[in-house]
Amino acid sequence: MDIGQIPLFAALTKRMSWLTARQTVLAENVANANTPGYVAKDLKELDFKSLIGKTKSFGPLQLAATEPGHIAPAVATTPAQVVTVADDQSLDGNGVSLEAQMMKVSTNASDYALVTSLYKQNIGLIKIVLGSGGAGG
Amino acid sequence: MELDKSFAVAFAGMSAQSQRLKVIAENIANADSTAKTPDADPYKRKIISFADELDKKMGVDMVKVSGVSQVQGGFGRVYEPGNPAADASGYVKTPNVNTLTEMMDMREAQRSYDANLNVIDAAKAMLSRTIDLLRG
Repeated sequence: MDIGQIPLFAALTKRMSWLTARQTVLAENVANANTPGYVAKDLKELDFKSLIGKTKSFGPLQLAATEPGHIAPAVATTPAQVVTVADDQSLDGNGVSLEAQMMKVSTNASDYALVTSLYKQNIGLIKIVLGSGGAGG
Repeated sequence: MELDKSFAVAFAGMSAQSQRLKVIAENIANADSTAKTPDADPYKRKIISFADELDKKMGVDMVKVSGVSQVQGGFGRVYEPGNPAADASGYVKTPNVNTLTEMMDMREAQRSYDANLNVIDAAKAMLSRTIDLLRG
């Protein structure tokens, strides 16, 4: 069984990669907080439906594996969309508000903590089923 | 890995801010540096400017120092006849450095540096959370 095929884990993994990508975008904003003419960026929010709604039969087309030796290609992930954020601009045309960025960075980190603990919990459930004592460690 | 990019960008931001701090330190240290002769100019205030630059290998917007320029003119004048740089009427040209402005710039550089450090902290927390998944 491939854990990545379970819808819940697939959704959590997608969320984690989205949060990681967002962290990079926020890092760019903070690093360029004093660059004239730089406009703050953010990622478009993940759509909950796109995470959960897709069952396997509606997923992207894949090559048929007709031989046991065939390897399924990695599913192409759609890159997260980058949008610009219209914050207040200073005189030099820089539109990065450090306070707003700090808020986003900390929400991002706590969201990530939430997702990883959900992931851990669900792995624990599978462990209970397997009888390896997921609750006890 | 995606988080490596966050680290790289934040480090670029920190090095840009520390170069800015270096320029500010030069300005403050030379706030009273006059010229040696009456016709030469005293120390000129330096300003640093940043530009965003796409790192093609990683695909992220890094920050770099686009240049350090000198501010021309705007010198002060102090009456000091004994100074070797004094002109015929006894006035010496003083640098166009305002220490208050420099102090304010310094604080801003410090604040931006801290913000970059915060980003690194958050990325580090995310990374260790991911490693924790392996511990089960």
